[in-house]
Amino acid sequence: MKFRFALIAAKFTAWAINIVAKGRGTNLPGKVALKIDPDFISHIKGLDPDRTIFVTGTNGKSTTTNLMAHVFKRAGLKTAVNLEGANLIGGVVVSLLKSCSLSGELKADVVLMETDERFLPIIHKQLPAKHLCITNVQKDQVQRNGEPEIIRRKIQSVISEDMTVYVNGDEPNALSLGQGAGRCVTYGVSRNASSFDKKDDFFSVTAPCPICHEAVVYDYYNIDNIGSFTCPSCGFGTAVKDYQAEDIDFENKIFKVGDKTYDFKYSTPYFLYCYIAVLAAASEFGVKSEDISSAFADFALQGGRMETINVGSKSIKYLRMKQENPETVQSALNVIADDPEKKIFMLGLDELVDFDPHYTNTFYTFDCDFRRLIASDIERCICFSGTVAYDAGLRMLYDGFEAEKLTVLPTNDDKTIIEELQKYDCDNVYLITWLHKYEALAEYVKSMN
Amino acid sequence: MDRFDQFNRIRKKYNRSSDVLANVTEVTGESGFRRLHILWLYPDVLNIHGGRGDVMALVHMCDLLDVPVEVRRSDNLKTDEDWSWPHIVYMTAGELKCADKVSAALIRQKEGITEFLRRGGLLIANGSSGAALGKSTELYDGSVIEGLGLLDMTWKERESVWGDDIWVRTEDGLDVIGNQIQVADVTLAEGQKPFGKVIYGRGNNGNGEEGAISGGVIYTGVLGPLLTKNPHLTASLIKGEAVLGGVESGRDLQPEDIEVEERSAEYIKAFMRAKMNAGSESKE
Repeated sequence: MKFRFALIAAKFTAWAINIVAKGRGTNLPGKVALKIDPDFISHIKGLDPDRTIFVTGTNGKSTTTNLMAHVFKRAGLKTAVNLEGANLIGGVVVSLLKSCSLSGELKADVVLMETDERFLPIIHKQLPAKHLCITNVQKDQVQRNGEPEIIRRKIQSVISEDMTVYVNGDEPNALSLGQGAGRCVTYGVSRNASSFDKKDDFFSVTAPCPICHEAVVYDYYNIDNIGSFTCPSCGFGTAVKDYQAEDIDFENKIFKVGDKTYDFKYSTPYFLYCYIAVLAAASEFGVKSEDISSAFADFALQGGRMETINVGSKSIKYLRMKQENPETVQSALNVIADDPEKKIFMLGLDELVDFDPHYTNTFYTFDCDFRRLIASDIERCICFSGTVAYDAGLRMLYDGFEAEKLTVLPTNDDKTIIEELQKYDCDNVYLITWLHKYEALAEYVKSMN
Repeated sequence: MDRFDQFNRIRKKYNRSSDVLANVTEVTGESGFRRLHILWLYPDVLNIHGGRGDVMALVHMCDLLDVPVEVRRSDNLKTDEDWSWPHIVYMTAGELKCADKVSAALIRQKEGITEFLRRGGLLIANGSSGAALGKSTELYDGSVIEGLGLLDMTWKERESVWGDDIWVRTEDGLDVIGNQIQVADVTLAEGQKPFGKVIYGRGNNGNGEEGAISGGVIYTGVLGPLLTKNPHLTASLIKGEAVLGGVESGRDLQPEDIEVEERSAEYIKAFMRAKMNAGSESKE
């Protein structure tokens, strides 16, 4: 009775929100349902843990989930999924609600949920998925996550012998999580044209082994801290993977797994790991390689990863990154560094306002390497922010950027930032900042036009 | 700002396979000069919160002070160090999980470390790496890691992470600013001196104290990286050890050397002051 009432109340809330603000309501109806029936999820009829897969990890969850949903759809599987990135328990409930009849019966062949790594144990308690796809476990949102080991332990707490995990075999923390599962499916990416090492820098560091806590050694990296590795102390390391992307051709945007060739429109190493993770999980769910291949070929990411603002003749290319997440910052830096043309680089690190208390962390930038970016012909670097602009400037100087080409603007005023940009002739502009600041700048430029 | 040129020239000369990074010929023009020796302990294991920036800052500051320096990194926990070599031993921030292996490695070398400290050496641990210098650390699962016991402090892993800015004042009046990511509460025994008093932030366990210091042993949880954000602290550590090591410092730190860091500190202190005014119990 409580469940029925919760279901109807939540559906009504979702309907009402949709009338007032279409597209919103990714969380509130779920909160309503859980307020009325705290065990709401477990009361849904037809939920099959054997046909439920969670996607978790620090980076790449949303892209992996979106791509997996696209593949399942192509294979004709009706999928209950939280595509909006609402990955806390409320969001999971809302996504399930959408696939539930008024009698509380789930009408889906597969349940696919992106789950925040911190909330995974809470969500898993109500919906004990038997399949878990782990993208990676890296430094992220340290104000709440502290250290990667804390995230790793949270994920580990839900893994059991009756579970199948799909783990990134090139990332030590993710790979270590396969050890507690009944079945571990590994995926990875072979050495390719974008692979690199860090042997040229005295100050480069690797990482502690998740098993024995001594240092791992990387043969090469495909993304920062992801690549072929071994722990000389305990022997833990990359082994033969169940699904390995090989013969990677970034120019023609194709890769091979076994004798089959797949397209990958978003041809960066970061996206390639999402593609191969999906290929592994979908294959294990019985999706035919033809369906996977055709779905990969026409997959389009909502919102994209690089957006553009035009200011006069200038084209500002915005690359998304998460503050406090060195790997996403490094991926953005690498994309810019791949452009050999003369450019202006705008760096808008800001104080962190995700949680209370707000604070001024920029130390994660010292986990990144700016040297290749700096060597890629930057005519001017503009560091801007209300509080930490000088810290961003300092980071550039430490990696060898010429002081006379550096502008530090200790402000978040959009007009001042754009006016500073307009002082320089170069039209090729790259911007790294958090999403909120990008949106504010885009809005300001729109108002100018 | 131009003062980073020398640091980057030096950096380009060395790579991961180099045993030692040295600025000696850049600073003195000669190779035979007496030099400051810095041992960077276990950087691959203690690898978080941008900690490598601290060692970059040490080298950069030696350039600014015209102090000839050599930095040696040691990545192998199983190898015993030559403790007669370093003047400064630096442990960058690492994950608390690594306290087990790091503590075991240090305890195994306690005799050498004791002699190193007796000679006037400086041993600094930043962030959670400090656990290895304390008496013990209790982890979330109840297990206890024995530490080196050079600082009379005990650590207990927190159920939740505490992250915020922090502003500390040392006994000799030096302001140290940065961030704090506290995964364990730290309790100092009676008589154990803190590294500093908290002006803003949480510190060891919210009791107004931050870090610990005893002779040449320092633990502080201030991140930033600590030594990039606090050039006066960096300079004082280097100058103090340079004197003990018989190394001459060619010049004093000039305001123009650290203009960017000083401007950064103005804004960050203003940010913390605003938080204090908004209701924090901390006060300047």
